[in-house]
Amino acid sequence: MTSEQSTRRFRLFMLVALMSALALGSFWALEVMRRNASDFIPDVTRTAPDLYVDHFSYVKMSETGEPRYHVSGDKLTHNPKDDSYDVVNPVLKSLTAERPPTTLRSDRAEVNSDGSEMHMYDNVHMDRPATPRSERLQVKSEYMLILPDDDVAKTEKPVQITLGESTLNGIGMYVNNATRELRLSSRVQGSYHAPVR
Amino acid sequence: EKADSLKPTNVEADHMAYDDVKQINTFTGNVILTRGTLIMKGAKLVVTQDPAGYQYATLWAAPGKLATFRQKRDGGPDLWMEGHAADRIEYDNKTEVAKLYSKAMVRRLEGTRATDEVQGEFISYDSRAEFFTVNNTATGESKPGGGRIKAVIQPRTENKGN
Repeated sequence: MTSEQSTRRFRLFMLVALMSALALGSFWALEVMRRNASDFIPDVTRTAPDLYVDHFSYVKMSETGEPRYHVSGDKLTHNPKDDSYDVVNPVLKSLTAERPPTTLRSDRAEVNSDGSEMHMYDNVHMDRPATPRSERLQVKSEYMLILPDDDVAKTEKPVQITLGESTLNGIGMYVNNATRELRLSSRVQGSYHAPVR
Repeated sequence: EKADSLKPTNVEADHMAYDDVKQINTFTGNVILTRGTLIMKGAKLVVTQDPAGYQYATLWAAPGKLATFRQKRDGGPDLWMEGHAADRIEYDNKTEVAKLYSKAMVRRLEGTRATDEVQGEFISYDSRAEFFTVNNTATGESKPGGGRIKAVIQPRTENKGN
């Protein structure tokens, strides 16, 4: 290999080395600047509620603009730690036109940040009025998880259901108001009253 | 007995699914249906209701097991009626007729002593009139060459005081 080739190769190598040093150096400078900036803003998130609303009423609209459901309550508190809400005496009404309006109330509820899950606790009571083609449905339980956007309510706790004249008890329930089905997962005990003739 | 028809129907089961649109109630897992003195047991029970509020129940036997029913009969302190079927029992609470499908058996008892017993592929038992018909095919009609029908009619002992 002639010395001229090796000097050219050496010069090429030096050039590449210089360029990469320059690139790394700029990344390093960027990092230093970024880290300096975050040192000034304390990132400890607050745990205590940062806002509350008394006697609120909240309507969620569907994409096409009609009201989907309405949530109201005596008090709403926002928890910044997990961006969730605590509600006192919540009342959730489904407002979709074609389905019977279901009302759900309880002593308290926890709602996640985008309102897709609503955990209702203590004296949960679901009430769906009768329609010409279906009987009145009432459900009582001590806990229920509501998925308002899919019109679903479910619990693994014991439930007491009255369906028209008949009563049904069981443990573990799944109600889908969109497909209008109700399932009980264990220890079902039903009592149907003979129609008055 | 007749008084049963005014009593509420109680059902116990492991699971239940209710389809509100078709108003069909499906109970599964050792199902026990009681109504007054009527007791029915099976693996799966489907209850549908007509607009007038009458219920139609179909009770399926667990595979290899029997769907059974037992009911008190009028006209005596300890008169009972029992029956079982290998496939299913259909009970129509408007006409109060129970239909027992495949390897069906119905017997009348006084206390624990069987007085009459009937076996056949299909039995239709009218619990209000306490009258039953037996056919030799599981579909409910009688066809030549179908199953055999066996009936045991015990002699009535004279004036036994009932």
